[in-house]
Formats: sequence, structure tokens, C-alpha cells
Amino acid sequence: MSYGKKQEIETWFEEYSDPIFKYICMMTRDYQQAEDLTQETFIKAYRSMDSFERNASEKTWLFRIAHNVTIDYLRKQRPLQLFESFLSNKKDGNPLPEDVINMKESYREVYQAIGSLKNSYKEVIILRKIKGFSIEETSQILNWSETKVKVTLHRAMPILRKQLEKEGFLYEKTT
Amino acid sequence: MKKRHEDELDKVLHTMDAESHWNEDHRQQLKKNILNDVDKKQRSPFFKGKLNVSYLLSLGAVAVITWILFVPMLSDWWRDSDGLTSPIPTGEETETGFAPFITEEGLELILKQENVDEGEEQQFTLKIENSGPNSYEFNEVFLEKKIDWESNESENVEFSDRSIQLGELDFLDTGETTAISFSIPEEYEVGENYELMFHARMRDNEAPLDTLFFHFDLDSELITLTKSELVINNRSMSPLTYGGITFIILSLIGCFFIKSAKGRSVFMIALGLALFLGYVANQQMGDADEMIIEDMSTYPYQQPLRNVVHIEYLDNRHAIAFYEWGAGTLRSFENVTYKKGVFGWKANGGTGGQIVVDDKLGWSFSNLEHQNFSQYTDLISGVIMSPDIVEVRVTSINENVYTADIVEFNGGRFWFLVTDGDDVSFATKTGLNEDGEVVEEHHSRAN
Repeated sequence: MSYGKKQEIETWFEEYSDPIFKYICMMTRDYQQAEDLTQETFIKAYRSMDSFERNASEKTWLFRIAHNVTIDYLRKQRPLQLFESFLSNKKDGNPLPEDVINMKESYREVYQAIGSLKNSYKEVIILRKIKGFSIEETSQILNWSETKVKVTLHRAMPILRKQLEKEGFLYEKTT
Repeated sequence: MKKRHEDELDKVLHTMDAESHWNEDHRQQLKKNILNDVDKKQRSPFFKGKLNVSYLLSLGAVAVITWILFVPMLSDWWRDSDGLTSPIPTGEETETGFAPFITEEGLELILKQENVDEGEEQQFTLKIENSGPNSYEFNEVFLEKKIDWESNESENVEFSDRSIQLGELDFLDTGETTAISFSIPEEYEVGENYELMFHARMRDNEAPLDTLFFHFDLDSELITLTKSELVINNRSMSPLTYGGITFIILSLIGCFFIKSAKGRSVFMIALGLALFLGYVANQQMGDADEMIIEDMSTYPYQQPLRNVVHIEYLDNRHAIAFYEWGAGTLRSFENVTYKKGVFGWKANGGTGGQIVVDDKLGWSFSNLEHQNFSQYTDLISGVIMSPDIVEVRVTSINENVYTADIVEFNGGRFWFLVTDGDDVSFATKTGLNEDGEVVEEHHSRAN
């Protein structure tokens, strides 16, 4: 039984670790932390495997775990960031993910702009636009209603465009 | 500004994952870590379910609380068992009387009861042999009134009634042997209200070295010696050691649950700060009496038969602890000034001296200005030996007249005056009776 579980987690890792890591990385903007949280995601998945009812796809389920792990981390991180910035007088000594992950320049600017958005906008853009999850899947991962997913994405995209504009990139509507 | 079509943004987003690459070595390492973790969790009984993790957490919490609560008590127990607060009985029982008691310095005592008939006044002979290199002065057998220092309800006893002299010997030189014969009047119940004691001040050619107090237990025929002790290591766990060990234990527990290096370092900084602030808060909010008495008990130099009789708080941050030590005619009355800082009450300095039995109004002067004791400049204090004295007045050289505070305690009465500018070092000290008549007066040395 345990051996089977281990094999299954190995298979899932091969298949989904890359998108999950990149999702966490964009959310946290901390490469090292993203690796730690990816590890935590798979360990949690291993421990909760017995309760996985397989109503949703395993990818959606793993992303839901990754979302919870990341949000937990970000919540805990908020007061710590204040404390750390008070102590060290700098924001973060770790390299930014976009500097560690190999990425073309055109992607880097969008990556940075997404990183500057608030968490809910960030999440919905990553899941819907980058990961390609359906509205239903996204609502399952985030535990939101489908309407909320639609509305949030609708609000998030103009904000992203505005952010890109601020950074000197204008994405015009097709006429 | 670079202009692009909106479709282009969708395209960038859609292909972002495919176009960004996670370091493959890192990914493989992470996979290895996860599989190792999975293997460990298969073996570990603690990670089968949430209940076991809770069990582990509870166990850790209990261990930490036990450590924090009980280690200071254990520390106190160690110190008490070290014999610093209670004398060590070193005599032996015999059928005919007390066995010879020989001190490290070569002073030998043998107490012999001369009569054993009931109803008669008990008569004793104390044989003293000095085979050591030092001589002894103030050799005196006396009865010492037992005082209940803990009780606030005991009847007050005057200093003058504390000791009853039974026999004495002025000087015992090296190599000499002598005997003091004495009897105990029937009205004194030795063992109940009084203790039978002998004291001697050991000295060499130049100066006194120490004062020895011997206690004779007539029931168990034991002789106990109490003398000054220089305690280099009193085995009391210092706050630094205690805090350090607590820090290590909590850090280990914290590091077990916190995975990231950054989280661990932040946890440890926060823990260190919390312990430090906790210690400071404890020192600021703790019972001042207890802290001062505790501090006095941890002095490296322990005077024999010492009792703190009163602590006077001049304000929130300045206090004076008055204490006596010794017994019989070798009793001293002294004081220590205390200042409260970030780390609690700390001794600042002190003065005092031996009580002169014939002096109805004892006094000693402390220059607080030299001790940098806030605005307080002078402390003058002393024991009241005469029961007739009910008021003490101090007249400074500036002709200012002060009424001193008189403090009663189980073992007697003393007076004190603290000034904040007026010089009372050469003041006139006057003890008055109920009718305002002068019982004793010490004139200013300046006059």
C-alpha cells in the first residue's frame, strides 16, 4: 500500500511538479521558498492521498493543495516580512525567481507585472491564463464560486495591463 | 513605450510556463528530498496522522513548561542542600556528654554536663583547647533567644533581651587550654525559647579573621558550628544559564517544525528577544522583597546567622535592606542599598557595624552621595538598645531637626533617617522617652 503511494507520488511529481513550482514561485516571488513549498505540497498530498476522492483530476487536487500551502505561507509571512524588514532594513536578500528561472526578456516583464498584483488577481491570472484551467477547475482550486472567478479575472486583466503600461509596455486592443 | 496587441499578452501568458525553465538539478534534488521524506514518514510513528503530531507537540510543551517552572525550584533546592542557609551538624553523640568538636583551625570544644538531677539548676563545663595557629577573643557562653523570623505576630523582643551571658573568657592564645563553668538558670527553657551558644572571634597577630558561633543541642548532644563562608560557586543557576538552556531547548523544538532557514533564524531572533524581554519584565514586575532577599543570599561572602529585618523603599527604584548577623555580643547591624535597573534590584553598597551592648542608641552613618544613590545623600541608622527610647531626633550641623523613623521587628527595634541634601554625618542623635526626656544622646563630632 505504502509502496504504491510512493510510486504514485513519484509519478505525480514527474508530471505536475514543474507547473506547481512555477505557480508557487510566481505567488511567493521567492525561488528557495517555492521549492520548499513545492516539497510541502507533495508531502501533504502523500499524507492526504487516502482522503483524495478522485472527483476532481489529480492535477486540480494538487493545485488546490499548493494553493492552500502558498496562502498559508503568505499569511504567516506578512507580519514576518515587517519584522524582517525592521531588522535587516532590506526587503529580501534572495534572488528573484525571474533571475533564477531561465526566461526570455518578453516574458520577464509580464512575470514581474503579475508579481506586483494583489494575491487574488495574481492567482486567477496564473490559473486561468497561464495554467489554462477552466473556470470550474479554477473555482475548485481557489474554493471560490465560478462567478467570483469570472469577475475577479475581469478586474485583474485591466490592472495587469495598467501595470505593464507603467513599466513601459502598452498592450492595445485589436481594432 | 513599446506597443503590442492585446492578443500578444494572452499569448505570452499562455506560453509563459513552457518558455520558463526550472533548473533540472534543483528539481531532481527536490524529488529526492520528497521521496526521502516519504520514506521517513513511512517509518516514523509520529507522522501516521494528525493525532500523533499533536501528541509530540503536547509532549514538547509539557517538557518546556516543566523546565521553565521547576528548574528554578530545583536550583533553590540545590543551594539549600549546599548548607548555605542552614548550619551543618558536625558533633557526635556519646553517653556521657558531647564528643570533642574540633574545627578546621584546631579549636577543640568538649561540653560536659556536671549534674543530671531533675529540679536542679543545670551545670556545665566547657573545655576549650586551642591547638591551632590563631588566637581567640570574645569567648563567651550565652543563651540566645529564639526568634521566629517568619511570623509577624510574635511578641517583639528588644535587642537588650536577646542574649543572656553565662560565662566568658577574654583571650585564648595558641596552645592554651581552658574551661568555662556555667549554669543555666531554671527560668530559661533551653531548646524551647532559648539556645545555648558559644562564640569566639578568631584572629591572627594583625586582624580578626572570622567569627565562630557554636550551637549546643542539649537533647541530641550535638555541637553545630556556623561561620562565614566564602562561596565561589553557590550552584544557583544564573538567569543567563537558565535562559541559555531554555533558548536551546525551544530553538531545537522550533527548528524541528520550521523548515526554512529564514524562518528558523527569524524564530530564533524572536525567541531570544522574547526570553530577554520576559526576563526583564519578570525582574520589573516580580516581588521586590523576594528579589532583594534572594540577591543577598547569593553574595559570595556569607555572614553567619544573617537575617534581613526590614526593607525600606525610598521610591520605586531605591531601597535599603537592613539586616543583622551574628549573636550574643558579637552581633552586627548593617545595611545594603539597592537600586532597581532593567535587570531588577541590584546591590549598590552598604555599611554598618557591631552592636555595642552598652550603647542605648546605636548609630552608623552611610554616605549615599558617594554611592550615587539618586538625590539621597545621607543615611544614618542604628539599633535601639534601651526599651525606654520611643523617639529619635537628629539635629544636623545646619541646625535642622529631624524625627527618625523607628522600625519594630521580632528581634528588636532600630531607627533610621535618610536625607536628600542636608549633611547629617556630624549630627546630634538624641533618644527620648515617653515624657520627652533624653535617655541617650550622641553629640556631633564637629561640636
